[in-house]
Amino acid sequence: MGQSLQYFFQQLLNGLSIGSIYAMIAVGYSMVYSILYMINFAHGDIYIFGTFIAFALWKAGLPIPAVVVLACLAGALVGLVVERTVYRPVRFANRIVPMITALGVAMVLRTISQVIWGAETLPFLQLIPNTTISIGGLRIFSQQVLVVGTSLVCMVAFTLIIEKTKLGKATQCIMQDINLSRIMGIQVDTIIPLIYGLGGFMGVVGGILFASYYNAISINLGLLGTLKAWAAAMLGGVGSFYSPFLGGLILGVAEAMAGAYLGPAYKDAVGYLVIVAVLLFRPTGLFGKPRIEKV
Amino acid sequence: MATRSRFPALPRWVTDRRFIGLLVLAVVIVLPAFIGHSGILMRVLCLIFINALLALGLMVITGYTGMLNMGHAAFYGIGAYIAAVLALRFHQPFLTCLVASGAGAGLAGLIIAIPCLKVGSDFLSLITIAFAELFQTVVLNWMDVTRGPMGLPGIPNIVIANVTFDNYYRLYYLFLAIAVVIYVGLSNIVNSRIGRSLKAIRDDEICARAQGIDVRYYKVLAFVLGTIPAGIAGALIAFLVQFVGAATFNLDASLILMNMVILGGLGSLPGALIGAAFFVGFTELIRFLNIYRIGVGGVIMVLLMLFRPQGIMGSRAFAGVGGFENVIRRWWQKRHSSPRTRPAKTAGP
Repeated sequence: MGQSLQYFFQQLLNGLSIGSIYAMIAVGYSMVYSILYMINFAHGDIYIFGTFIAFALWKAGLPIPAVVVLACLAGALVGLVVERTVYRPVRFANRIVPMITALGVAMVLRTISQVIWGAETLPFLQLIPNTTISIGGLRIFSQQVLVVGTSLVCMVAFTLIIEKTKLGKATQCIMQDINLSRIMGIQVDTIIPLIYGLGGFMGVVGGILFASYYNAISINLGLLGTLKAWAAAMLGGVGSFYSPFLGGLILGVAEAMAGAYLGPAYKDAVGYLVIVAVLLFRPTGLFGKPRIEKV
Repeated sequence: MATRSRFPALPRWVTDRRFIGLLVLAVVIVLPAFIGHSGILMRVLCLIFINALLALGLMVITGYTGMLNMGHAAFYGIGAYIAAVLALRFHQPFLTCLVASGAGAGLAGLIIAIPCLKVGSDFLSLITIAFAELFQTVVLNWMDVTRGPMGLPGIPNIVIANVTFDNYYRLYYLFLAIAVVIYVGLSNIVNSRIGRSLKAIRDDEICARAQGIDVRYYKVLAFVLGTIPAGIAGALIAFLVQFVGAATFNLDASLILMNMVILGGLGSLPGALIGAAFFVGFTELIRFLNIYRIGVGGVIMVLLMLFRPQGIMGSRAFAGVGGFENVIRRWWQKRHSSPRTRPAKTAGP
């Protein structure tokens, strides 16, 4: 394999790894968005709060599987509580109102994290020992295998939940028409918090992978995560479950390529340029269905 | 359309609303006399004027036209950098910088508005965020002009017609004058045919189109009208702080501006002023809370939205259903009505 081709594949692999983390974070975001069309500014801070809980549990000396499971459950719980306290009262208000309450919650969570864990970047646990596998001159890190594998498993599980279970079918109904679902006897006030919880759960899985991949955690990842999740969800488009996943992957690959060939300073900018370019030609995202407006 | 004033002794053009406005203006004019020698307080007041300009612009884009512009700070930054470069490199006088900043930001608004025409509201906010991030990248990497992360220090004092604005009192009245001019201008625009068209687009775009409103034209116009004050505010901050750095114009700044406009009340120009004054003043008031400051701010934002979803000055119709207002009213009625007068089983909202 040529030197440049090998470099390309190496960067592609990096992009896929980081993209699948974006995808994990974006899935929960996109679920909520496709039901309530709410720009959830708290999503990033909820997942980073859960990741901080993982950090605290790890420091407390728990075994790694327990750390992961408990932190993800904690993330789901935070999502539930936030939904109940500040989103539900304004669910049917103008869309801008829950956006601002979400921003307020994000600020509160950020402050709590900062008071407990400080504003510095902290070293995070390694989920698995760092080894390299060499295939045809291509070096694959064990972390990358873990990240891509976990996100694939989570995506399959998530798709099964949405397609096969009663909860998932109810969710699909609510996406189509929230009031009609209520009339048909779907417990809307139970399903929506569960979706928030599921989003928090998936977000914390992504957050733990993210922090473990870079071996660092900091509260500044919160807003960054919100932005990336939002960007990935919008890039993929709203309306199907795999679109935020693909959107996250494309975003990750675009950023890795820009970082490799143009320099790290242009990484984020190229990611956003890709999004603008895509939205110019497909205003509803790559795989999104247009939202039909009725008069 | 102007209603007759409650004070017949006043001239005809002084309506109730204008009367309140003039009253506030009078208070603001005499305010420095009561502040004395507090430089910090005067500086905060100057910052309030700058943020008021930004909020007024964003109010036209978001509050009147309904486009979620989450990159407003980038237009602010464009204005600031244009002013700083013109003043430092080309030694241009303040007024030239001011005009150039306004024009530059307006031009940027025009360019950004074009891709925004194609997409719906949330995609639009993503495009504006993307624009703001691109702005950050350019500023941080274009070393020749912006000096990257080091910023541009040493911007001279404002000089207009041989008067040097070297203390906060002079700056205060200059900024006040600019803010009043822009406020009156925007107020006339939003209360004209243009403003009514913008509101129609915000409330129902399809319906507005059916009424014969050129939606594309008015959206671009709203963007230009809203970004020009942002550019002017950029020039003012450059000359006030005498330093321009990229961090002032980041995403957090854009979100705070969005907050000002929403908490002030969407669709109300006085709301923009109140939002700006509230946010800047409040940030200074709770500075002693240190790291708890952001959290306390968040709690207040949440409570304000839950109890008054339309913002301080907004109209109830715009907020839609929700908030705790109805809950409180019902609880209040329950407590303060005898069983006989208590309404039987009120219907839900």
